[in-house]
Amino acid sequence: MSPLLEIENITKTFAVPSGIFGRQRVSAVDGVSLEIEAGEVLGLVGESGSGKTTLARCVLGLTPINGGAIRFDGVDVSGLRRSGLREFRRRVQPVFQDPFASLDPRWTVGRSIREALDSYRIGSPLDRDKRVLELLDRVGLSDQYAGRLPRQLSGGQRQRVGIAAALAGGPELIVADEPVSALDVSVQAQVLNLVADLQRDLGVAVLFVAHDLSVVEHISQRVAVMYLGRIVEIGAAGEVFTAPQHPYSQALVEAIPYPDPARRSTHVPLSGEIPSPVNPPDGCRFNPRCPITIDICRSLRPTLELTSELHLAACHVNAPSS
Amino acid sequence: MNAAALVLTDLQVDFDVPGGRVSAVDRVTLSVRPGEVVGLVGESGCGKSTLANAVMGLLPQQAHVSGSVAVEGEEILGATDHRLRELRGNRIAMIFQDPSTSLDPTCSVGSQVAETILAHRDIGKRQARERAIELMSEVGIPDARSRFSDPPHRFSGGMRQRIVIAAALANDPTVLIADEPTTALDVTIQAQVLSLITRLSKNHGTAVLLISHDLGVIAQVAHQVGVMYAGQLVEQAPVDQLFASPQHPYTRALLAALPSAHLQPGRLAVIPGQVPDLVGDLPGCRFLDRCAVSRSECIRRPVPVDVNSTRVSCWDVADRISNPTVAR
Amino acid sequence: MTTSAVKKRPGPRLRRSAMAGILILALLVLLAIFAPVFAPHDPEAVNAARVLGAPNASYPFGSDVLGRDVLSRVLYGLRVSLLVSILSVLMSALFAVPLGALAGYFGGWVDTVISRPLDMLLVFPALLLAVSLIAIIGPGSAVATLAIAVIYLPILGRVMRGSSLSVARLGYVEGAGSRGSGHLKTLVGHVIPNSISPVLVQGSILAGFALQIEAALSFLGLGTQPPTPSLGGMLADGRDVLVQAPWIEIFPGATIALAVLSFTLIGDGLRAKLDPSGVTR
Repeated sequence: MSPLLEIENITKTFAVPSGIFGRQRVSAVDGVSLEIEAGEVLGLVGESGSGKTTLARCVLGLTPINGGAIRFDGVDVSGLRRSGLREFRRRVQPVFQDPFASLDPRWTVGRSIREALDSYRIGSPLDRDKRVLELLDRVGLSDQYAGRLPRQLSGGQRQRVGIAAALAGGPELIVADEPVSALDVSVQAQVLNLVADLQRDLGVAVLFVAHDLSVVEHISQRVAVMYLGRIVEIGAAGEVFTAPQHPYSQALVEAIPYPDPARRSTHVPLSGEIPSPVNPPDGCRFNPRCPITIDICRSLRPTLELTSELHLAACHVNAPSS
Repeated sequence: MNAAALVLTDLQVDFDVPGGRVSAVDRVTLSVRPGEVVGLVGESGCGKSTLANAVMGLLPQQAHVSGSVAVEGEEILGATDHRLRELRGNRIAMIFQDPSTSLDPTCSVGSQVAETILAHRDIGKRQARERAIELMSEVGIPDARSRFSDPPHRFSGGMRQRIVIAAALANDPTVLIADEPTTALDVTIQAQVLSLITRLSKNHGTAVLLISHDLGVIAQVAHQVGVMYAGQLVEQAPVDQLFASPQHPYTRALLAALPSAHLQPGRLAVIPGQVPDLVGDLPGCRFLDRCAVSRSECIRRPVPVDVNSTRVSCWDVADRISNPTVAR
Repeated sequence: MTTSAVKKRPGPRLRRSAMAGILILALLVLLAIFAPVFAPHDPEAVNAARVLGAPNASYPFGSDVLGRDVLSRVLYGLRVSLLVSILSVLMSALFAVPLGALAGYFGGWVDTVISRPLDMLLVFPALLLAVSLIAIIGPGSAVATLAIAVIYLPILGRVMRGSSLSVARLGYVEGAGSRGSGHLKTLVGHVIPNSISPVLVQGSILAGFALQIEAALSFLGLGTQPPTPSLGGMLADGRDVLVQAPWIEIFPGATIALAVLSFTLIGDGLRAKLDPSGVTR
């Protein structure tokens, strides 16, 4: 069965003004290929400049790509017009990071959830009101929330409303960009449980973008790690977390402050700064900071190679192409 | 045992708001010894930042403050503005979460570090400049001499935070308050900056009060931990003990809610309800409404009890200690 | 960075000064609308016996150079002033709001096509532009209204553009497309309602300036044409006899000042309530 979402070698460059007349090219996403199966949660992890947010926006169609192709349910998205595009939008829904900016402050919660139902003309108006209450219930909020305004809700509640609004159209894929980053730990737990439930009960696939590996690892089946616009590693969540193959993923995992003082990290933290995507290094983009770099790393871009079943890494040293 | 560098005794901070009076910090007692890192952890609204501001004497005029904050024995609360200015940046320093707003975007970074030195030391500009360059190198700014005159926007977030640390530690303060110093930074950069803070404080013998919502950060860096909830300090313990045997129901719930606490996927433990509105009448123990083991005494403020080296404010724990034979 | 349970707390109510402004304006509007009722005399009735007459019981504001009742003329003049100032701002906003919203929402070439011509209009000093327009079309309060509306178009347009620029980047606007709303629906349902408050603030303050511009134009003889009473015209008339009959200048002048003050107070109050961060200047 073909995957629900296929991203094939996409690139996205931004032109950024530089100096008085110059323009610089920022390579935000550089040749990324990815697949998401129906009902799967794929975690996408990376730090600043990794391109993960840009990638998410490309999938949603909010940012046009410069190269490559995105196929949803077998159909190339760039070829879609009008009704096809609308259908695509309904089936791929966003959940945003900032709970304070994800809901129209002047719309009641009920109206925000109903937006997709109204626009896509799903059911009769009476059905829609019922559906809003159903959705509220599914995200764990009682009926009375339908008439409230966002400012009367906490961050966690707003995020749940955002999820309900995303579910309204009956999507098959939810693209969540850092949905829990702005929430307290205890509230984060509620939202993560919710996402897991939704995946289980509704079979909806999720592209879960985050910078927090432990959050991603908890909720995803597979995890992809991005660095400076490229995927450096992808594999089963537990595996990437416990046995990372790429030196960057290793550094990322080691850098996570583990809430157990008995397991204090003795590793030397990864040195250097995250380079700007304006002038990325040649070859493997991680090479300036990499502890195990060899000559070829500076000139040739590594490809994703299998390190074990279903686990790939792009590293000349750890996963050389034969 | 060396005398504590920072001692908070029954610190109380209240604010008047349209709805009534908000008790943001409710009689917190805490101390930090030289060379020690005390982590203060809690979620939003717990009062940790208000506490930090109280220690720095940065609370707004309208705040009602009582209790005591003593730095090397000297009382901060009620100190004159003049004395506070003498102390800040000198004996007490603070670093904040967002490095882009802690630095003046129009001045060079070096001058901002030098400025802190010049404000409190009677040395010449040239000397201050040299010292600033030294500090910048110490915190890991490559090519500090040539980068002295660069403005903040030429540096990344991690670098800016290092500069902020350099300025904070310029005059070798006795007490450093770090309020969410790495929250705005990427994970790999966070690791670098945390390692820097621990190294510097160890070398200089600084007493550090590290405030964070991130239990992982606290676990990696702190010696002692204080857990705050809705303005109250509910538990205080050496770091190993806090994580190995948390006493307070809130601490336990918080640890159980962490995704990394689970090695296999499963539902994360959730704390029902939400943080109480701090205006108006609150029960003595503010966790009452969300606590699984609450009892009738909990409307009264719990008296802290000691369990090994943990100090915890909970009637349930107190009861367990005084009636050890009762089966749980 | 982290959130907490947000309890509803009432936002700051309108300041007392703003309430005062609303009251004053309401009073002035009422007087203006019911001018025929309140005016003790016909504003255009010439009365030789009352030339430069001092204020008394039946002529509370005195009479002017042609013996006409100053109070009645002030009331009718107020009508014109208020009508022109309010109407001009509304007309301006009618175009500025959609144009600004489109520019901010779409950005790119749409923004350029809308903003550059508007920017060019900004170059001209207000009064100069108004006078030029009047020179082309001819004098009168209708032309004055139009001229002022044109002057304010780029100002309100920029304010709206700036405001919608930031609103357009917010999650709920970007997500509106996914929720099935087309551009028009998004603009009307999300962008405009959430970015219009700076325009309301600026508009109130501009209404005050508009009143002054109308007065200035009438003073110069370019706005409301005699014999229709106008506050500015009265100021012009009273200039030569300022020493003998100061009431001819004082009362229209004070009325202008009062009206402008009320607009400004309202504008400032709105700003405090709607835009405490100071996005508008």
